[in-house]
Amino acid sequence: MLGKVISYGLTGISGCMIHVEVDMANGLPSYETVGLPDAAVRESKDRVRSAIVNSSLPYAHGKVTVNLAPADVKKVGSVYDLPIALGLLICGEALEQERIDGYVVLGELALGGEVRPVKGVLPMALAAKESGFERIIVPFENAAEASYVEGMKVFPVRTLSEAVHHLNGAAPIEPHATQPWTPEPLGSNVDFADIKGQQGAKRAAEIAAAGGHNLLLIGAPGSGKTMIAKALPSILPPLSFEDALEVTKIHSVVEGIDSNSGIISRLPYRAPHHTASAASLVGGGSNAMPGEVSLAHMGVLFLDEFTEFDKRVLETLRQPLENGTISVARVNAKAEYPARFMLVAAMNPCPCGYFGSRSRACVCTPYQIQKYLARVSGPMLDRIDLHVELSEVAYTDLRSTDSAESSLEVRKRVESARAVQTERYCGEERISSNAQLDQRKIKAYCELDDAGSKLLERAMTAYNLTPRAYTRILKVSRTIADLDDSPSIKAHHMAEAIQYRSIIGKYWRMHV
Amino acid sequence: MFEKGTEGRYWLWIHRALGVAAQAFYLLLSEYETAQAAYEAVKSNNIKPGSFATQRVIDKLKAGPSEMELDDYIARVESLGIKMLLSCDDDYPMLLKHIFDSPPVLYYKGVVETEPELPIAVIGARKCTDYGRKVARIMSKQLADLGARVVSGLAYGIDAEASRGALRSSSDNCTIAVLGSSIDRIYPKTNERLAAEIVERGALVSEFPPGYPTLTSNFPMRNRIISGLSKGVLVVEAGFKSGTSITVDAALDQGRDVFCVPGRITDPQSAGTNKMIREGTAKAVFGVNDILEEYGLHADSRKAVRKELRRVLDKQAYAVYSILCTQPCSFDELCMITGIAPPVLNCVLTELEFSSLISQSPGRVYTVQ
Repeated sequence: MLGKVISYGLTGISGCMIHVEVDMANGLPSYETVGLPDAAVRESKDRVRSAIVNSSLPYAHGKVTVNLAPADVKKVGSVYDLPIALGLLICGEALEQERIDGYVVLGELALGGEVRPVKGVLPMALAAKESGFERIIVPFENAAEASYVEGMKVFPVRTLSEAVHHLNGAAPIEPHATQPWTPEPLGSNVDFADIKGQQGAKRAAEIAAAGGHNLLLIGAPGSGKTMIAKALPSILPPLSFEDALEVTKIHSVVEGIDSNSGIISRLPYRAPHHTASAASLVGGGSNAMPGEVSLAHMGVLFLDEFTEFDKRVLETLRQPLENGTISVARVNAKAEYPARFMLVAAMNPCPCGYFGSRSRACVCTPYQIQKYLARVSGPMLDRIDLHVELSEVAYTDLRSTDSAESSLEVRKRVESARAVQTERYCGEERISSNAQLDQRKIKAYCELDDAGSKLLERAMTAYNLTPRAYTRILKVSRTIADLDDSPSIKAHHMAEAIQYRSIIGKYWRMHV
Repeated sequence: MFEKGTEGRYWLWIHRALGVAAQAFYLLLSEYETAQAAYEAVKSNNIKPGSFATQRVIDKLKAGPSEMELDDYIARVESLGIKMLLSCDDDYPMLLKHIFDSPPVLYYKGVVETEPELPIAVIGARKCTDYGRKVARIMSKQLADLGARVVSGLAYGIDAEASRGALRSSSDNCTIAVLGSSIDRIYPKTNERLAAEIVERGALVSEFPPGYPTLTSNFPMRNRIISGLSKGVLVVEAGFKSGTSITVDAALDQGRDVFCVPGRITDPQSAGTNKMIREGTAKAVFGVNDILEEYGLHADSRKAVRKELRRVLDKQAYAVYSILCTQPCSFDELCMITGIAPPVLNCVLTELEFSSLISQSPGRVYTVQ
């Protein structure tokens, strides 16, 4: 007797179809799982047996072979418990094969027969829909997540018996209703109105948000670097449904999704500690899991105390910063993950933090300062579009009661600038904001007038800029022009953009 | 220059035997009058300890280099591109020659003039403020523009800034840097590029032979050469106790003029300079003219420049410039005082910066040049 059930596994963050075949032959009772199973899959044997017996369903004894096809793909995790159990029940003639055809089945079993949630349901369901399946049985807690796949009927089950009764037609389950998509209004708890002073830094944050540019904040301890970074998601445009699905896919694979909403509607904001390893940042582990850069996809990756990060770790960020993707290769798996995030880095100007301060004396020697700054390499700096220094906050600033602009007002400007960009790049693949322009596209979209190019030429020599910095200035001035609703880049847009590049000369090529 | 049998060769021989010890050198010469006589006395074992030479000095002399070693040394110095001047030479700098412990042998790269036009030392603290940096830069440039030679120590801070300022002018031989290390081991290393520029447009000078270790004790010794090469010494910033005070003491011993740039009374970096002004050791200097008038010279005023700016700059730019003329301001302060919106202010600042009217320093503080 043979039972066949369709299930799904994961390669990277996309689902791949797995045929679960259960065969029962005459002979001494035995149980064998083939098809490159990992330890969790092999252990399913005991869970499946107990779950069937404890659900008062018939467990047929015989020579059982479970095959997970394709046989050359590694199978990982507990998602195959439920399909294997259903396959066994078909072999034991408790369920007819025709009843399960057309279904995709996912789920882990508890010994008592309950179905437990699994990770990665959304990407699996998406892949199933793409292969033409329209019915899926998922653990109850994963139903919300799967229900966002359009045209897919999602049947949530709490126990093994529920699944069997549904398939038998004894007690059909209602498909889970799709929740309407509502983006989170403000992606942050900190509002721009809460930040006192710091006009310059706020303006830089606005430009960064409008063009999706990376941002470097330099300032004394307590000048409000972290606050600006935290408030940034509140001025970023909210996630679109498609973006949210992609973000949810990644998070679903790594940490599971909240069973109520089933989707991530808030902009990702990731702030790994500075002791983070390279693998935790870009992804790794024996199964090549996504790292922080991918979890921050479409959102903000905030690296506080930028200089305290291991230099080797920081340099691994170069590829994702340039390409928006990261490929991770490990023993068991190889995967490419999306990693298009806004990098916000914050650092002190020197080890003691008060270099350049007018209220407190810096106690660092010039050599110490140079060594400290050298932890951030030139190529890294070149990849960050906007550099901005935070001024010291005066006491009067903190006490002032005049309300600053709220995040909502700033976001309106950001959104209209983004709309301009979306319209401009509608014919382009993979480009949605100015930050994503490459060398060739810059030529096409960032044309300068005479005054602008003369100004840029002077900046190049005055600040001794690299060609990469040149393109960064162009991109930023494009965004400033968009904020200004100006179709062409004017000299004064360029002049402002240059200010965000002037720090390098002051700190990194400082004369001591 | 160093052929066998010449006075110069004997002179170099004694220098190599004694090491860097100007006083022992001149004591010995005061007894024997010429280097050759001293050399012969050593070789014929006629030399006895006395007021002019201790037993240690005599031991050193007896262990002096052989003819071959001396030849090797001369070849090595030449191969490094380093030249030597002896204090008995006619082209040895006149001012330096007349101090009592002038280096018997002066190593140098670049061009050392015998009688340069108005050499002025510009020195100060290594850890200086932006104000000090700026003053050093401006004054040095103005001095160099007027044909003066800026002498400095190539240390971090004021010294390096003085050299940089002088190099900004278009005059030749504008600056001389006196090293506390040997010329083939520039210290601090970060100033190596600056040193290379100085060789092109002036001179690097040191009394330490090539390969000589860079010891902390070198630096106080070289300070007497800085003042010795100069007619006057301008101290830009100095704390209460600093290497700068050694140079000032040397300058006073040598009868040089001492000038000080006054600083704020609360600044520790100006404590030393302010004290010298109060005690009357130094003349307070408010502009380059205060130095020049001591030597009967004069520079033009900048009032006309300001008037011209008012005509050229637009209203906002001139407003920002005038505020910065009174005090340095951070970006946010400018924003608040002028009421100009950040996007526009960014533009204005870039424009002023490119016109070299203002400059930006860490902390995003803007100051007028």
